[in-house]
Amino acid sequence: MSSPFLSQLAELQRADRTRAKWVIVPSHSLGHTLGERLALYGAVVGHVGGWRRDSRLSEAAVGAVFGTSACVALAYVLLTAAFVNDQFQFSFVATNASRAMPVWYKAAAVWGGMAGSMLLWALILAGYSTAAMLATRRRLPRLAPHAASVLLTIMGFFLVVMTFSSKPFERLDFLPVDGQGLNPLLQNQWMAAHPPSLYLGYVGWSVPFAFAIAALITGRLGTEWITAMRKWALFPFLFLTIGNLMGSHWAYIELGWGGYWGWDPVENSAIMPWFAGTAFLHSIMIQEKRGMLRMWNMALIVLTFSLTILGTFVTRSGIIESVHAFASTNVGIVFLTFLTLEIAVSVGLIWWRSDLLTTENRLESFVSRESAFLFNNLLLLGIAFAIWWGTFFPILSEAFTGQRISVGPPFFNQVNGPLSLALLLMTGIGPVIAWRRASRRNLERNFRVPLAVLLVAGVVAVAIGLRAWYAVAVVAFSAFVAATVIQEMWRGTRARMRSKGTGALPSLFGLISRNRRRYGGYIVHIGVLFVFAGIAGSMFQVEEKARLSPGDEIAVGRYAVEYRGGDIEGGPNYTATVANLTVREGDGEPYRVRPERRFYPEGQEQTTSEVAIWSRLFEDFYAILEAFDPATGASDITLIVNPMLMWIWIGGGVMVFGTLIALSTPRRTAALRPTRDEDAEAAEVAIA
Amino acid sequence: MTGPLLSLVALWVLLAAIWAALWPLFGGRRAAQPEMEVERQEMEAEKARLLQEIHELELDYQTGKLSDEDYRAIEARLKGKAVEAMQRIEARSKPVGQRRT
Repeated sequence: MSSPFLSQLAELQRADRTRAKWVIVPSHSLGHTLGERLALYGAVVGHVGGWRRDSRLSEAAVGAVFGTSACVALAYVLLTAAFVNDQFQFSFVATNASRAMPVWYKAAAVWGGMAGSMLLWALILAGYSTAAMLATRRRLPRLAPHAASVLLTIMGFFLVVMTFSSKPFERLDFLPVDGQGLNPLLQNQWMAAHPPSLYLGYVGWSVPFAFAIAALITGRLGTEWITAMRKWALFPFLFLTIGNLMGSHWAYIELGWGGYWGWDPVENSAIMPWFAGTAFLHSIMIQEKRGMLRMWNMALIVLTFSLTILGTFVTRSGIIESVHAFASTNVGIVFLTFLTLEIAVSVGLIWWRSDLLTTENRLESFVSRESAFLFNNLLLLGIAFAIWWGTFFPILSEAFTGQRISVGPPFFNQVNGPLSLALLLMTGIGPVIAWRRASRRNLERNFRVPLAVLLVAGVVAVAIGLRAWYAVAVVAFSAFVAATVIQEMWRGTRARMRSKGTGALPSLFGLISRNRRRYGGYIVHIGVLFVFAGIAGSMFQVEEKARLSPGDEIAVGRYAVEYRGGDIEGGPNYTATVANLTVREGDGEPYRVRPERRFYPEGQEQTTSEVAIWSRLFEDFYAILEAFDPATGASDITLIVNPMLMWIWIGGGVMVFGTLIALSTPRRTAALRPTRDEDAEAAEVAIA
Repeated sequence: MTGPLLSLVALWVLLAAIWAALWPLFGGRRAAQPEMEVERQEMEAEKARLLQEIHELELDYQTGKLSDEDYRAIEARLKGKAVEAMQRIEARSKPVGQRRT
């Protein structure tokens, strides 16, 4: 009875009970339960208050948003405390954390499983909803109560899912000595930050969706809700971009197959709303300027929001086999029901308001800005649809034929390659083509230089040895887009130099500063070019696989690689085998790379590959240790040269920067807050 | 001390949540804005939007994305709407007796 193990167990249990005294408040789930009730209450009073124009009920709905948010935040804090303090009496903590994990990963493990990720969803929605209500309840008093109701309905759904299917505070009948630990694949800083960012992107679309529904209910379908929601649509776009970049980077450095995007169902689910949301961001400009595409914009925001719910469902249901299937649960039917109801109600409201959604103006010419934006929208949706089709084909094929047939990366690349190229071309055409109807003069004036640049770039690409048509097209189209952006900036700067009498640089800064949304968008387009360059570079990937003994040398592309034997090393909660490689490019200095394989003995007893990357501006050298034989010292190693890969991350960074510029546009509500826009003031003076 | 403190904080958060949601029903908050104030805000927002649109129209014209004819037509329409919006705001700001009917 007095064995060291039992004494240790007793000591650990004593320590747990001590911590439990303060971590377990009267009921952990009280915040969750009360939040659920308040959400359902607010969802009802908001619609009633908004419909009857009853200020008390409307205020009560907004108050319910604040109250529910406070409850959700409390539940999240208590769950995090349970993780950090090793409260393994909670089933969810025991299955996703262990004592040996660093504190940072314990806090991140909260969203490592189904229940915690649902709570994170609700927490982020609580944050967005609170911020949206604070920003709009005075500015949009007709829409705010209905929007509060919609947001509370969504929040309530996630809280109900936690009550019935996925309980974060469910307790075990016994107290485990230790937990199973977080999936080792997730013990990576990029993966720790990836889900919150992705969720900030997914969840953020709830706000424009809620105001769209509010606009449909109230019949206020002009530009009011569109103008108010511009920034609220840019936030999720920003975070979806960051989240997808983080996920790609994680896949690149952690999954150990040499690529950054494998068309995995979960990756696809994260990128689909990005494409639909990007279409929405572009098409609302047409409604703002020309009063067109009202119904289209409604359909787009409903689609984008539905895709975020679908994405969460795919990620968390494990319905489609995936490397991410670690969160498989049985909540699929609950999600599908919610998704079906959401789509049915939205479509019903659009049908009900179809008269008011009729467009004020018609498309006057196919050679116009409006038509270019519409074509851009169709391409974005075409890509989203192709991804959806490829992702859900296994389920559809199983449903109709009984056989589960998967489509792999070749399908996605073949379909999306040409569509992406067309989209790249439209990225250049859209911003410079004239509104309403492009005249011959306009076409000559705006496209002469960019088209000349396109031709020269294409010829140069072929002359330097590029033969793959896709790569040549990417170079030529990218040069075209860059030329249109530079031309736009130059013309705007020149106009400002003339009107303000300032120098070129101050005029450029003034131009961007006074038109942040427009020029922020152009900067995003530049980022897109860089991303395309990185993607095109992956076509020239070189790969070698070899079994190497100490002292062996191998050539990969321009690189000479020497294997100097392997080591076995220990980490905080793993053991690693490491291969020592020396890489030399031509006559350059040697560079040491040390790919690893880590074995995590606790919990799931999993092995992970820690790749080694020598990353430079135009090329990555990528090494994977497949296996190490301690008896002979030999290693199975895969070596890959990835040209231009760095440009994906640089391009992503530029896209984020451009979006931040667009987001920094000051709000213009002249009477409520003095406007800082000199040009708008000048316009007012001129009119007066 | 931490245990009771956390419990107390949790209790306060829950009570505050209930208060935030229910208090407006009993007139605890100032009643939502009167109808006139809502309309005034809407008119101000419309004016700000129109002024911004005129500014962007000018930039589009200067960078060659509008023909002279289209520019003049759209500018006249937007300026007309903006003047109308400003007149409505001005009329609204006058005391009731001085308003034109």
